[in-house]
Amino acid sequence: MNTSRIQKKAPPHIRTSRTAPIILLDVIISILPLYFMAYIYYGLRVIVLGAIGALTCFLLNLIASALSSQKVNIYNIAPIVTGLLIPLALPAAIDYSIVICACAFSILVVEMPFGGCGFNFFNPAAAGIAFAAFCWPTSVFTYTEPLVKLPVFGKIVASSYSPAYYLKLGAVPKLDLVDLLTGEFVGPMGTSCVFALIAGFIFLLVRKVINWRTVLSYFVAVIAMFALFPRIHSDSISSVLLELCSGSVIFGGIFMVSEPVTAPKRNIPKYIYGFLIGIFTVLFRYYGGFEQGVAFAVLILNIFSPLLDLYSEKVIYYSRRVRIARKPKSSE
Amino acid sequence: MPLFSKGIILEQHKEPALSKNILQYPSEPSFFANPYPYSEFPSIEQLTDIARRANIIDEHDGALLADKLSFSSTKGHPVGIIADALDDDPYISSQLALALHQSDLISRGLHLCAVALKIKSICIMVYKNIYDLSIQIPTMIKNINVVRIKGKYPAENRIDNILGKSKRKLIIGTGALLHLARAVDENRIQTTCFVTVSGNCIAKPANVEFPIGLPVSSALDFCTVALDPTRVVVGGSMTGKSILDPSSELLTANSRAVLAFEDRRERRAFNCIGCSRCTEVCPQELAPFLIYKYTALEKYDELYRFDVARCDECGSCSYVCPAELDLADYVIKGKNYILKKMSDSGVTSASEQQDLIHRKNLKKLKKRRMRFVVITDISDSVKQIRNSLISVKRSITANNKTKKTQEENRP
Amino acid sequence: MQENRNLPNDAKTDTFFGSRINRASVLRISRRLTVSVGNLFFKNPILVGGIILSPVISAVTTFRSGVAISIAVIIICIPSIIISELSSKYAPFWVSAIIGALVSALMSVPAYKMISPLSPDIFDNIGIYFPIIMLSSFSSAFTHNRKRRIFIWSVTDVVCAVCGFAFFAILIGSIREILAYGTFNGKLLGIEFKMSGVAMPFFGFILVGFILAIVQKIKNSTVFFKNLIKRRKEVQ
Repeated sequence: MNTSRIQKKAPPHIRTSRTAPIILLDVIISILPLYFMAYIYYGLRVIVLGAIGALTCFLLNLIASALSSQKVNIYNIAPIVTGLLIPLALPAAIDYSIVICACAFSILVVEMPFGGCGFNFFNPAAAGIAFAAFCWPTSVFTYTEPLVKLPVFGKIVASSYSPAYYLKLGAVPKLDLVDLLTGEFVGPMGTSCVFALIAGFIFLLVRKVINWRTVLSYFVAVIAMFALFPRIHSDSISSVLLELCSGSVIFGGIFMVSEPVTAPKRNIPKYIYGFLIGIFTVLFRYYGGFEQGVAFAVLILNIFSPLLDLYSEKVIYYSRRVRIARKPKSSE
Repeated sequence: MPLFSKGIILEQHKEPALSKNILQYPSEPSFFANPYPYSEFPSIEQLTDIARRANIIDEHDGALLADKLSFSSTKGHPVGIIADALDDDPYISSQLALALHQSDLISRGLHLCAVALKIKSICIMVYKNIYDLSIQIPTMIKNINVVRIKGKYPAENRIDNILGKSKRKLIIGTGALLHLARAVDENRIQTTCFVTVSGNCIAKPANVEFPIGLPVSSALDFCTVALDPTRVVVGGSMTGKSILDPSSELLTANSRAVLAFEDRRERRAFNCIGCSRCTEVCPQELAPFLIYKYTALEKYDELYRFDVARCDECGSCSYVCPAELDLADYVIKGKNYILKKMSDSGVTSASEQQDLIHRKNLKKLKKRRMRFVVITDISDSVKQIRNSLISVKRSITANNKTKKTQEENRP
Repeated sequence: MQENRNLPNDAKTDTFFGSRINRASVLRISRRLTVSVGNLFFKNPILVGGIILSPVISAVTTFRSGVAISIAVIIICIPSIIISELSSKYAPFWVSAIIGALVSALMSVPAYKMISPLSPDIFDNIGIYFPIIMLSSFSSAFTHNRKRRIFIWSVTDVVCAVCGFAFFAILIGSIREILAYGTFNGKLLGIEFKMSGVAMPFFGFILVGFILAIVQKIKNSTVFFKNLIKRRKEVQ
């Protein structure tokens, strides 16, 4: 028996086979149906946008972690998830330079200075989308009609507005129910098809990748706010459906609210976090300067998630003391 | 509720070692002088003396069987005896194999203890969630009930439910029972131990009866090592310790398994991805990710608020972590710090120690707040100010005198 | 100044009126100058932070406004430090600090008059932070060690700090103007790529942070600057 390769390691000596790259691969698989639907509506440009975003994020992450003297980990595909999510909330007619800038911002400013992927304070996808919205407000919120194939290279003139814009002005967009659910209306590239989003969500639930508690409380808050305080003068069901499907509310709820690094880790803070993000999203949509509000709401609540964790530890500590004091002592 | 119970589901990997008969490493038995005449069921004092002369060590917790029996008869007075064939760790099957293949001796040992301690309820406990077995575990072994423990790993938390929740039970390992039966019937000293040799480097995994004090490398060679191992573990696969030099490490009575693994790939450098699987899985409802962060930054004094002393070192958090961090190692480090502080200050229980630290921190906070409290008793404060002024004046005059003497001394 | 043990014994501490310039004092002067030049890069008010950071972040979005705010700081801070140092010989420390604050308040009037033709929209952006510049004289007074206040070195410290402020304010202003509007000093550069969010304060914070990180990296890496840090520790 050759004993030269023996090393000493800490217990336990067996580990799960579901490691971090496999979990992140599940998230990438759940994003792919959205790209497929966007390809049907807008053509090959969509796939090139996604590839450029993913490549930018991945390469910048490798370079930045090498420069900051961290161990370079090729199997860390979390930046690829960020790079695939950012173009989905932008129109398909957007320039490549805007996507590259937003992805560079999300990696170099939001992730790297805090210690790399895993130590970030803010959600990188939400921060990239917010940065794009601040810097190029006209480009990010004017769209083209679906089912018109866009050329891969060259400048495209976009001139349509999404239903969220008309809702903000106070008008009621005329949309068929089937059109609304399949996403055949003017809007961001990947956030309009509800069926693809629900398919991705069910896949993530079954594979136990997602925090279902944050997502559930987020949807409860959003639907309650849309039903109780409608913006348009029609019955609440159609108001809720229009508001839900017209922007990136569902997309943000599934992919941005449930981001594991920035969300709290204990059960009760998860409910509070999701609920407050829902309320803030609706407030930003109604009273904010832009027509979408998920990214900004997520960024605000990210500041509070470590605080919620620490306070819940205190609550658990004291409740455990009370439970031990109340329990009748065993006869032993 | 079983749906939301804490813990992890593990693949047990107990075959093919469990189905084979127990092998024997060639060794000579040794005997002790028995002063008592042979009786089929000796009394408790005789049994305790026989166990002490035969030097039987219980592999369930490493204590001498004689001490356990004497404690039970004088102070403990248990209601039932349970033979421990639980084996909820993967790869280990040394106790379960004894219960299946050497059931005569096990039942003889159990009956000896039961009659001596005058206890009627006895049973053998076995883990239920073993899915890859090729033999069937019967419901009765030699007319003794086999109790199956359901649930996820770690299953030791669920032992309390057998024979009633708040009743005292005596748990003895099957190896100790076998040695006790041999000691009473053949006057044999315990010189052997039952060890599972397994792992993905071993060609013929089996349960073997080795002599105590055998080097681990001989134990591994007895079962043919096929690949070069990168890790050799003595003890369980979840809680055992990994050793560097197999030829110098010796087998003891409670090293229940020797495992040799080959890691095909190196561990990759991931950071905590915040998935919160460790908090979902911890049976004591701790937060390993927070304890890991604080211990890595060496902020030990703030660990009091996380109840670190409740950790029972099961290793579930490290098993489940997707980033392959050493969570259990860091939590145990923090726990050892708190326990050491406990022994330094003479406090008996861990929760008391944490309350002490908590109270000290509260006192510090209160002291800081006290500076802004309005002085209501004026006379005391006036006296304090006067005293301080007098001392200041004295120091100034002393300084002036030394300065004058220094100037006079200069040319 | 502290008696340097490495110097020959005949070198006495110099004062403003009647200084003896010899080999020892030249050495001392050159060493102290390196400390001041170091302060230009490492202790100027922008990169150290403090009160003077806010007008830079909110108002300096073009090259012209950078120039304007640098002129304002020069006009306000330098006379105030000169007069407060002069008055510290004849009055206790707290009186000279108050005199310095009054002088800086006085000098803000000509500063206002000089800036308005250069960049008229700067006062809409700065607002209250313009009078707060005069508080920087306070902070510079308190950062110096009270025991070793030699006139010429306090003045050179502040002059170098102000020059550093000017350098970085102009740098930040020009970067933001090129990125946000595509112009430099009002002239179009022909770049089509513009980011309008760069003119907002959040990008000012990010830019200042990045420049600070780059300067720290340079400081910790080269051998020249390591010697500079050693010398500063010997002197202080």
